[in-house]
Amino acid sequence: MCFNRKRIAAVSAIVLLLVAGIFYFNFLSEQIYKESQSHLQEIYNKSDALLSMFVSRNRNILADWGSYANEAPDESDAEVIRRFINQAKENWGFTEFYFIDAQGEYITVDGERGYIAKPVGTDEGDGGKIAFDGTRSAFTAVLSNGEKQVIFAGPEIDGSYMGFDYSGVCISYTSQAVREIIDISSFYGASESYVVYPNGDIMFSTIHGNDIGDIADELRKNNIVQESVVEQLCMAIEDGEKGMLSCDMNGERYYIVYQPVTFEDGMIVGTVPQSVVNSNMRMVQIRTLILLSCVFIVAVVIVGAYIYQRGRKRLGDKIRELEYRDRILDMITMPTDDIYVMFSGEYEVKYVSPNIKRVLGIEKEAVRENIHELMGSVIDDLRTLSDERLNSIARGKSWYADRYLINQETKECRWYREMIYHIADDVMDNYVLLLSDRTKERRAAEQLKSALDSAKSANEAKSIFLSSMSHDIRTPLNAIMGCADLMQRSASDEAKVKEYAGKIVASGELLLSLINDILDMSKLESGRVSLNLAPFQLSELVDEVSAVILPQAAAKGQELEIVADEVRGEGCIGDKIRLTQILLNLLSNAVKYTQNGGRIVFKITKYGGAQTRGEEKYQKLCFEVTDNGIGMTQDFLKDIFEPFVREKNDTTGEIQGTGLGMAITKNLVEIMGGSISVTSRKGEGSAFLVKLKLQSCADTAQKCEEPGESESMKGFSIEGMRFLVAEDYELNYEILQERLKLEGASCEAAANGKETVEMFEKSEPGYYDAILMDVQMPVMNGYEATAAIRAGTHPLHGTVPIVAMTANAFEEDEMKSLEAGMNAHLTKPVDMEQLKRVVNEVRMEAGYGFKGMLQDDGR
Amino acid sequence: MDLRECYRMMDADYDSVLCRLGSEQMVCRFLKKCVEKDELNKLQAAIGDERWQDAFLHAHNMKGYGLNLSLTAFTESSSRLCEALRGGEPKGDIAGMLSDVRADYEKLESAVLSLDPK
Repeated sequence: MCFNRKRIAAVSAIVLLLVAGIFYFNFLSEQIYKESQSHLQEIYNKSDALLSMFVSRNRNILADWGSYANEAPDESDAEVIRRFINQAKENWGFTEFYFIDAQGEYITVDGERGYIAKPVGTDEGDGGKIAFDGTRSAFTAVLSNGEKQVIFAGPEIDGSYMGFDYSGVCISYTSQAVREIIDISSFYGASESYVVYPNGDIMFSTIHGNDIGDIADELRKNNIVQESVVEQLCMAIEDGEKGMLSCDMNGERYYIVYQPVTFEDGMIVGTVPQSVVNSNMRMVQIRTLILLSCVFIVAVVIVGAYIYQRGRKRLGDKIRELEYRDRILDMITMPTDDIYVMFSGEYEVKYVSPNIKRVLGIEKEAVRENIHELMGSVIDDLRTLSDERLNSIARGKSWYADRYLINQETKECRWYREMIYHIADDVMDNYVLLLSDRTKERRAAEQLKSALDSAKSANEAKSIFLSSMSHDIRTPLNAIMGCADLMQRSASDEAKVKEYAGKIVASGELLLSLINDILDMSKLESGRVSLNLAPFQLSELVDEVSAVILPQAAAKGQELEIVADEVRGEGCIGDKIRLTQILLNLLSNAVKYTQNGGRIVFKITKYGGAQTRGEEKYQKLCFEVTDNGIGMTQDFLKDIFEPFVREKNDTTGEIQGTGLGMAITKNLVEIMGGSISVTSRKGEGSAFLVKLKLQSCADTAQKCEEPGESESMKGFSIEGMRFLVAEDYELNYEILQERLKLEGASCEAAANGKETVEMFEKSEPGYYDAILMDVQMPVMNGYEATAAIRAGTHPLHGTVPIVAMTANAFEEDEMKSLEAGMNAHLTKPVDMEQLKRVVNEVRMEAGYGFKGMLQDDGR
Repeated sequence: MDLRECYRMMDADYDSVLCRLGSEQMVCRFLKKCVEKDELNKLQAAIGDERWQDAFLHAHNMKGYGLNLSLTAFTESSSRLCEALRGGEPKGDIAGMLSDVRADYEKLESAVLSLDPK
């Protein structure tokens, strides 16, 4: 729109300038015409004045002759007359003096005779003699000798000279002489002038030659001229008007000027080429036009230059703006992994984000030149940048696909979401290609899927486990029930009662081990198992394990070889109970899955030498359990450490187990920072290898000693400790108080959470060794009280051990306790052994040390 | 009636409580205290007044000493009632459960009363 308006304005300006030019040109032409007319009239006025003077002078000369003739001497005195005339000739410059009669005959002063012929072409002209009657005092005539002369005649005067009777006198001038007077010197001989009588007859002119007619014939004869102009001129001459005509003559523009003269009622007529008259004016006009043109051109050039400069500046501004926008886009896209490419339907690339080099290893400029360079990174066969694809995307719509692209520099392959947007409006029609890195999302989705699959398979495994568990639990339970029933019936038979009781105990033990395994697994899976680190002797461990396993192996007639010479006498710090559990799991499995009379080897060795970290020395130990039992299939080996997995076949069908043993073992080994591996061959046997790194006891401050049997059973003590017991129900508090007293500990009661917080805040640091917190209390419950203590100002607010006591054994209750900031959770009624262990563990973890243990040992 | 017999009557775990509290004397002492506390009446009153929070606390207390004194059957019935009252909104057959608790409590009461004075 703007563009059109400008074009219209430009055209209008040019038209206006042309119209103005035409007007100016016409105005100038008109002015030139007027100026020329005035100029010519002035010139002919001047000619008129000169002619009038000439005519007047000749009249005076002729009048002088009249005076002289009146006093004329004797006619015979011709010599005197001749002298007088010759003197006059010399003075006035005429060519001859004539005595003339009425018939046109003449005689000169020298006696020469002749006649004056009438000019041909005039009204009177017939080539005959002029009848001298004094009506015309000036005219052009041809003498009898053929000379053309301009004749001036004087008034009638009768006389006789040399016998010739005359009736008048006249003098003659050559045509040249007259021409010199009337010739318009200003026009460089380009003009012709005529003095004519009102009837058009030429009195005299600047025309050469003897044919002297009237003005009309003269014009027609010598020129190609419009007849209307001639007629108009003749009429003007007849009427004695003054004026000027403009006409074409011989193809050239002429002015014809006419105006009366002051003698003989004549008119002077001049024909002048306009080019000559107007040459100066025309020059001025041309110069003016040239000047104006120059001014116009200069103006156009200046305006053009200004517009060009402005356009250039605007273009420069636009380019700078575009560059600025490009830079902003670059800055936005550079830190991201999303690549943007904008291109037209003809694949002309308008923008490429600079991160393409980093993300795909392709040069930005290469893609700018050819968008198909992008295809170099495509791994799959999908070629998206085709006319067919682009045409299928409607304006404002988009298309996308997931692509696997390779970084051409690093050769790293990643997943991208490719999107092509078709963006179009009235001005532009472009496509935007966006490559967005979706690798993380894809991996996350894959992980989620895998987690879901795992969860599903775990769930399935649990379902299978529960169904088999119900069988496994029912089996010993049924045995117990059955035996109990039998025992009831045979109560009097002591031998049978003993037998049944033995069976009941055996089944009960199996049941117990099943339930223990389940609980262990549950604890391990929820990460609630903590190690009870204590010094122990490896030989002691070996002895305890052997004591359990040897009878089992012996019962099956199996040979059990124990190789532990390398480590006998070595002291370690670790969780002996859990380590025993690991070894018993492995060994009892070996016994279970080795046929009667088979062979089992249990070997403990050191490997890799001792390692020192800080002041602590570590032993790397390798526990190896090898058997020549039934072995396992390679398929089963892959899942052996998965919970609830048991190999089912003819051989194992009768073997009792939870399918949790190996999972528990692996979890325990990992908690201890070790590793477990297995090799096995179906029918040939299995070998389990556990590698552990245990702190060496000899280099620690804690000294190893062989603990007594009773002490090892006892473990921890709380003797001498003081507890703050939060318990709202007095009776329960009293029971706990009594029991703590039995252990040599003391306590103070708080009736609710609020009171507990207050009592703790007021206490000296270390006054209470731990807080035993009931959860369900009025005013403020145990969770709230714990949170308040942890957020409090007491110096030990963050570390004082807080142990929850609830009647609920649900796992979520324990989780809630831990989340509230408590260190451990005990189920009511509180088991004192458990309490002693938990309190000591918690205190150790919180950095308070083995208070109970040291007291127990008497140190 | 000796304590073991008494526990058998109450369908309670004599060995467990003895192991926990160390002496029969201690067990007897706390059993008597339980009866003195008369939690059952307080529990019934709270249920009658629909003071569910109070009722829960009394049931909770009963469950607490039941556990401490290994009163197995009593713990079981009071625990059921306690859970039904948890959260301030009674759930299930409160009257039926209260009746079970009452029956077990009465056993406890009569057992304690019939204990040999020592």
